[in-house]
Amino acid sequence: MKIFEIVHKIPHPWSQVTEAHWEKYPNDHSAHIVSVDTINRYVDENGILHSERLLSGKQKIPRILQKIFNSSDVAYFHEVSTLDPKTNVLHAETVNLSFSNLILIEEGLTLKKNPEDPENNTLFIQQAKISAKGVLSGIAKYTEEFTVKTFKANAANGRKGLEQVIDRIRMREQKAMPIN
Amino acid sequence: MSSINPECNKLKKDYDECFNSWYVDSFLKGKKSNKCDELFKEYRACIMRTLKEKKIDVLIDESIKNSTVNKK
Repeated sequence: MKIFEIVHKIPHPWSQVTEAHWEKYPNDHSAHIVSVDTINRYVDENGILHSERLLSGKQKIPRILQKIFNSSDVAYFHEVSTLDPKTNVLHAETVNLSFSNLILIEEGLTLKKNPEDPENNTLFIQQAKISAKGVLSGIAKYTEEFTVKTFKANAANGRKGLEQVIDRIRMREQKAMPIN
Repeated sequence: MSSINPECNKLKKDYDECFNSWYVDSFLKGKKSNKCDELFKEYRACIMRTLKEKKIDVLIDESIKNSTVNKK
């Protein structure tokens, strides 16, 4: 099993970064994502927003494994998130639904105000746990290392994508401002 | 961004637009509003049919059961 964590500071207010999280797709850095659907959403009695989304994308797995498992080219991912507007913390957990009997990729994302500059800066904390399963556990080291490499590259793209969407939202909000 | 079932795209777009404005103008400002609930109901009904057809609902249930992180 491999675990790693990436922390970034995004120079934008938390409200805008979380807004971008909901509108993140499409963006130029996540071309592999094909569809996004919200399948459940509610605000609980404590005012916490719960969301469940289903994403589909073109899976990046080693070509040799694609051949062995005769995989279809679309993979599904399930994201469960909570957002507390009082503490200003968004936490999302994403797991792969496809090939999960072979390799399980559990991704955690936390967006919270940076205590050093809470009004203008947001902490972007990404964690991933990667475990090879079943027949792949025999070549776990190889599989996990490959996946970590791919995942790290994707993680950077995910953040770049989010930043692009933040810019898009800022442009839109500037346009919507009344001119005096 | 497309829905898993392109036939639900219009319902998804209407709901997403409603949600995005609700999030900024109501939710983050602490105002109670359920203005998107009806749109969500219609959109959800559309995608849930596809999830059942593709048996993704079963995959989700299994994933929640097998998850090592704390999920409901």
